[in-house]
Parts: sequence; C-alpha cells; structure tokens
Amino acid sequence: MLFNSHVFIFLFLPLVLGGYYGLRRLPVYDRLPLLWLLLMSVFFYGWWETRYLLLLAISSGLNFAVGRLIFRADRKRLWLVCGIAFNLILLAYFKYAGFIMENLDSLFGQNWTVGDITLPLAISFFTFQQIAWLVDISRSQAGVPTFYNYALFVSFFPQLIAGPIVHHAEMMPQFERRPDQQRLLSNINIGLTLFTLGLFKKVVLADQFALYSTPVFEAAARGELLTLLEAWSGTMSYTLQLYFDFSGYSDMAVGLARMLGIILPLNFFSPYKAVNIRQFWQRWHITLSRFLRDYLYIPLGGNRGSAAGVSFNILLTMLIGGLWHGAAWTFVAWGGLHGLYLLLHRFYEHCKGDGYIANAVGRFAGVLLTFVAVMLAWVLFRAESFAAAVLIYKSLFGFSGLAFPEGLFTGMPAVALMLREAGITVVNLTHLQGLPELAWLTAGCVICFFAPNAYEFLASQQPALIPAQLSLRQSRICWRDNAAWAVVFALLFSWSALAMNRLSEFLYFQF
Amino acid sequence: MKKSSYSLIFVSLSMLTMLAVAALNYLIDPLMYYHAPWTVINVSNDHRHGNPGLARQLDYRIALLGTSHIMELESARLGEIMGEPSLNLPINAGLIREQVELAKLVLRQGKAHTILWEMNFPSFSAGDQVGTGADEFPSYLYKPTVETPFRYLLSFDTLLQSRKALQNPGSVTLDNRNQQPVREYSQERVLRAWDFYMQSWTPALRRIWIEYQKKVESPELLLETQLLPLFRQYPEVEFKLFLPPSSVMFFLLHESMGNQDFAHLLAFRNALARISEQTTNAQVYDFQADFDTIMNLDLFRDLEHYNEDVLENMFVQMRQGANRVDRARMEENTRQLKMQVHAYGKMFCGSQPQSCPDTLLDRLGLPSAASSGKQQ
Repeated sequence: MLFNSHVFIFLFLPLVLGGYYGLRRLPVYDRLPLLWLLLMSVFFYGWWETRYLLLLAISSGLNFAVGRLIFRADRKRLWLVCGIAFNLILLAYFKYAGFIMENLDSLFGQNWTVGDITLPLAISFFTFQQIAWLVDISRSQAGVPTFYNYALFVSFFPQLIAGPIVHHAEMMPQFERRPDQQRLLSNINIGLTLFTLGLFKKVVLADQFALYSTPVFEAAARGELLTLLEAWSGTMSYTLQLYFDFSGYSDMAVGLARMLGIILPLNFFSPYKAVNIRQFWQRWHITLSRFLRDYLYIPLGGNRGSAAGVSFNILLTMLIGGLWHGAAWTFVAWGGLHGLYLLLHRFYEHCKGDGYIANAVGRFAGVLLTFVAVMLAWVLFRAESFAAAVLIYKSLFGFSGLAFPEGLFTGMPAVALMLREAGITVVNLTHLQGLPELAWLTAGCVICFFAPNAYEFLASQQPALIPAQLSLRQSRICWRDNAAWAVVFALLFSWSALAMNRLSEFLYFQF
Repeated sequence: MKKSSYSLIFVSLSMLTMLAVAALNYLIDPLMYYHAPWTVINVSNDHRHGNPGLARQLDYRIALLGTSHIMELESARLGEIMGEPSLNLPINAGLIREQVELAKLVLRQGKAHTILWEMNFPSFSAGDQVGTGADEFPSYLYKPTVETPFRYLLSFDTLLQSRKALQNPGSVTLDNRNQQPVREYSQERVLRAWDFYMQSWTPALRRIWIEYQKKVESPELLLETQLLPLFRQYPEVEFKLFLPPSSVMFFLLHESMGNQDFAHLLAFRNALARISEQTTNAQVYDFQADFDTIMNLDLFRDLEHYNEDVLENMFVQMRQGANRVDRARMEENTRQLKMQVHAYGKMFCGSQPQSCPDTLLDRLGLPSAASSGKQQ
C-alpha cells in the first residue's frame, strides 16, 4: 500500500485514525490504541507480501530477545556480536546474496547463482534501527521496553518502508507517554498539512520530473549517446525528482505520525541549499547520516587520529553508505565519489583556516558547486550500469555535441533560423521536451533554492525532531491553522489526489 | 479560530472538490465503464483504457483480440464476415498478459461465444509483464477492485476525457478509432522498415534484449500458464487462435538477430498447436505458412503490417475453416517456413543470416520476392 494510493488515503488512514482515537476514549486497557497501531502496521506491511511478515516477526522477535540478553547478561559484547551478526546475515542474504554471487562468479567462473530472492520491503531500514538499539543497550544507553512498544518501534507504519530511520530514544518515550488530549486537534492539523505537502511533492512534482528523467537514463541504458542538453536536462530532472520524491515521502511519514501524536525526526532540510558537501549530508537523508555517523564512523575512530586514518574512516563510511542503497557497484561508486567530495572539502577547510567567513558571492558559489557536484554523482546513483553512466558523463561534458530542441523555439522561427545559420543544430530532440520541461525545471529549482521548506513553514509548531546542528527558523510565510491555509491545503490535497491516477512507487522503496 | 475548524474546512472542501469531479466523471463516463452513453458513443483511441468499457457496454457474440495487426478491421465489417455481431478489441503493441486480462474481462461479461485471438509472437516477449510508462496498463479497469472507482472517477485524466467527450461528442467512433494515417503498401516501405530496425537495433540494445529474454517467462510457458487455463475455464466458448502473416522480412529479421529469436519463434508455433490439442475448445489457424502472402512485400506497409484485403481474407478463411492446422500440420508448416526464410535470406545475407546488411533500400526492385523465394 503506497502512501500515494487511494486505498491508503481514503480507506486505511481513516480506519487507523478512527480506531486509534476511538480506542483512546474507551475507559479500558490504556495500551489498546498502541496495540491497534501495531496491528495496523502489521497489516500495512503484509499488504505487499504476506510471507515477509514472518521475516519481520522473526527479526523483531529475535532482536528483542537478544536485546534483553545484552541488558541482563555480563557478557554483553558476545551477545551484541551475535545480534549484529544475525542482522547483517539477514540483510546480506536478502539484499546482497545475488550481488556477492554474481561477483564471485565473474571472478571464478563457476556459474554460481543463488536463484531469485525477492528483497523484502524495508529490510534495510528496520535492520539499521534494530542494530542501533542493540548497540545502545550494550553501551547502557537504552533500556528494554515492553515487547508491544518494541514491535511498534520496528514496524510503525509511517516510517516502516522508507524511513526516517528512527532512533529508539526518540520513539520509546513517545509510545510510553500518555497522549496529550489537548493537542489532539493541533496534531491532526499539522499532520494533515505535512502529509499534503509531501503528497504534492511526490504526485505533482516528482512524478512530473520522472517523465523527463526516465527516458534519458533509459536511452543511456540502451547505449544511445545523448546530446549535451538532453543529458543536462535529464540529470537535472532526476536530481529534482529524487529530492521531491524522497523528501515528499518523508514529509508524508512525519505528517502521518503526527496525526497519531508521534513526532518523527527530520529527514530532509533543503539539502540543495547546502553551501558545501558536508552541509549537504547534514541535510539529506539526515537519519541515515546520523546512523552512519554514530554507529560506523565514530566507532571506526571518527575525526580522531591521523589525516590518513580520518580519510579512511570517511571513505569507508561513504562506501558502505553507498552499498546500503543497493547491491550494485554503481551505488558503491556513488558513495565513494561522495567520500572523495568530503575529503576535498576537509582539505579545503584545512587550507582556508578557521577565521574565514564566506561572503554572499562565496556562498552562492558554494551552493552552486555543491549542487553540481551532487547532481553529477546522481548519475552513478541512477544509471543502470557503469557503461550507461559513462555515456551520460560523455554527453554532459559535451563529447556528443550541442543541439537545441526545436520545441524551445516554438513561435520563434527567426531565432531557430539564426542559430542554424550560426552553425548550431536545432533539431527535434527525442528526450528533451522543450519549453514545458524548461518551465518545470525552473519551477523545481526555484522551490529547492528559494522556497522555505515544510519545516521552516511550520516552525512554530515543532513539526519534527530537529537535530542539534540545524536551527529551525520561522520563514516569512508561515503556516497557521486558520481558514485561509485550510482552503489552500484542501485545494493542494485535491489537486494531488486527482493526479494520483497513475500510481508510482517511491524511489527509496527499493532500498 | 477553533482548531477543529481547520480540519473541518480542509476535509469538507477537499471532499466537496473531489466529489464534484467524481460526479461529473460518472455522469459523462467517457470510457463507458459504468454505463452506456446517454447520447452518442464516445470511443477512446487509447486501447488499453478504452477496451474495458466497450467490452462491458456493447453487444457482441464474437470478440476479436490482438495487436496492431488487427486494428484496422472495423467491428461492423468483422460482423459482416462472421455473420454475427462482433467487436474488435485490439491493443496496439499489446503484451500477452494485457490481452489475457482483456479476454478475462470479455469472458466474464458472458456475451461472446467465440474469441478470435491473434497470436503475435512479439506479444509474448515481455513474459508476464504489462505495459508501463506511456503504455501503462490500467489493471484497475480490467479487474474491478476497491480502487477502481477511485482511480477512474477521482482522476484528472478522466476529467480531461470527459471534457473531450463534451466538446467533440462522437468524434471517435468504433469505425474510425483505428484508422492508420499510412495506407501505402509496397516493397519499398518494407525495405525502409528493415533499414530502420537494423540501424536502431544497436549491439548494446541486442545485449540488453538477450539478457531480458533470459529473465522473462518463455512464450511456450506463457501459453501453458496464461492461455490454457483460460480455455479450460470457459469450455463453452470457442477460441480461434491465429498466426498472422508477417512479411518474410520479419522472419528474416528475427533470424538475423543471431540470438535464437527465430528458433524461439518456430518453437512457439509448434507449442501453440500442441497446447490447443490439450483442450477441445481451441483451434489454431496458420497464415504464416501462406507463402504467397508473406513473400509478396507489396502487401505490407512495414515488416509485419499487411493490407486490409489480407486482413479481411483471414477471417473469411477462418469462417470457412481454411488454414486450420493440427499439430502435425503445424510442424510441417514450421519446417517449410524455416526453409523458405533461409532460402529467401540467401538473397541478402548469403549463407550467414547474421551477416544481413543494415540497409536494403538499394536493393529495391529485386526480383519478384515470392518467386525468388520459391525457386530455392
């Protein structure tokens, strides 16, 4: 069940909300609303593939048991290793077995295969959440909750499928806390608003950019060389598509949880406004970066040690981060490229010294450079193979020639004629759709670079749990739960709902 | 303002907007999904979206399923040939799974006693998949689910179709929805199509194709898993399966790919006859062994699309029982087809089909195709 599906919005969600708030009114067992959420989360997960419910049950059951053992046992480290090994083996089998065998086979040529293994939804997300919990118990930074709360922490439907990767320290207290009856309506209002913003980003924006990016990457996969403009527009479209898709999903997740009175952590904070690559990673998929930092980079040694050691830690963390996204070398290369970016940035920071403060021009250059660097890296992330990525890079750097699309000059034949006479090709480009595409790309960039993000827009309402390194400032245009905004968001919601005819999956579902 | 007012305004206004759109879409029902039209019939020329409504609302005893090969035959003309009310339900570039879904929908209506079904080999090349992207297959219109009313009625796409239906009522009809802009049939057009395919079919694309074919179910398996159960489920319905007469260049193209495509095509033909013998209500008609037709390139507008005479003649013959084949006859036809294509190919490719030239337009005017093939 997709968040952007009618069944979810018009049937599942009202049922969940009705049940949750209805049960809260009953003067019986006060855990009933949470049990209801657990039941509905299990139903939500089972909607795709019932058989993987068993996997979810085994994974959470075993992790809970191991967590209790770590909590009580003297030999915490042994049980922790067992727990992490179990999680990694599960992940390796379901996500990486095919990839590992394929590579071993290409090395040894023994025709080794593992058959078809369907990747269970959300396995990357719930595995990381549980590893973090086990590690924190072993560090005596977490306790053992009731099994209901733990199972809900793992399977809570708003964040189960594609994050945010929640931390037990954020969720458990919220599950244990008695719901604040005073804020019920306020939570619903904020939740509806965030959900609508996310739905609009996904259905209206991301799916529109998909129309422009997909043909370009598919053409590259077929071995077609693209023209310069096609390659740039396709890559730019994908850059915007991925952002609106994933941040839209995250907004919806945060909004859904908020309707139930739960505040989820922030996952996106205008990443394309970042002035450098380090800042980009503090703003893009924030909960994954946090996991990698706290449970991989810092245990590896983090910033301590020699320059070579730190560089190694950064590179390894980013390579593993890349591999987490998918079982393919292109993802590893994408992670490696970001690792290199981060090293370059460290070197630059080192050279310019502590006292340097960039002026407006410097900041603008920083945003532009970061955006272009990130965009170039997305090519590896999206391309189906290295060969396809190389083809796109060739086109991006002008090795396939420059040609303008005829559609750009609709109604301006004189301009087209002038360009042709100047020796510039003006043709009907297959993968570039002229003015409409240009208009959408411009609109997408304006939103990314200049508009306040959803959380700045709702800053006064504590829309999400904000990490320490980010400060949430109220935007000039800010949301209030008044009639005017209710009308605006009702219309945005209707627009999105009417555009949902073609259901499209979220890009991060595959991870 | 009370906090409850925000939610109240949000929910009521969005519901009102959506209900208004849904009501309008329901009243106009541009795809005739819920009811027959109140004034003129509006037919969608998007087959994937338009066919379910036609199958549900119109009256027919014979349904014709297939791809672009059968598109140009008007339902009324088919009815004249077959002697009973008929409905042509083609899906342009239709995949077999899409056709099966349409067949199930047709059969569930209980109107047809005969299904004429074109067995186009390329339809089987995507395995069990349905169209995506621009050719997205709207499964919700074929298999009614709880989502169907939402996706059909709560939709901008439907709203646009409703507007079109209001602005130009009856502009697209059953008779004109499939008319092709090109009605020119010649050897030149066939050779031009050959050149186009050979030049677009890059080595990278061929590699991708071969890998893809390894991943999807084979055509033979699809016949067993998709078609046979359907024949058995509806024993009272007669299924007339026919192999359309593509030009010899189509077969040669498959042979020249060098990836066993032609061998698979031949195996598919034999499998079709074999499968049909496992049930009493399926018959197979083979028009690919009509060598006078397939080798006369002047009857085609590209590698596989024939003219209206050839199209109509197939149904005339089927009605008469001509060209019906059993397993033994099919195997003999297949052997003949293989021989004829080899012989014909020698004219262009020598003894190595893989060395067929990328461009053949310069061979325009080659000797009468039919006779040269037969002389070998």
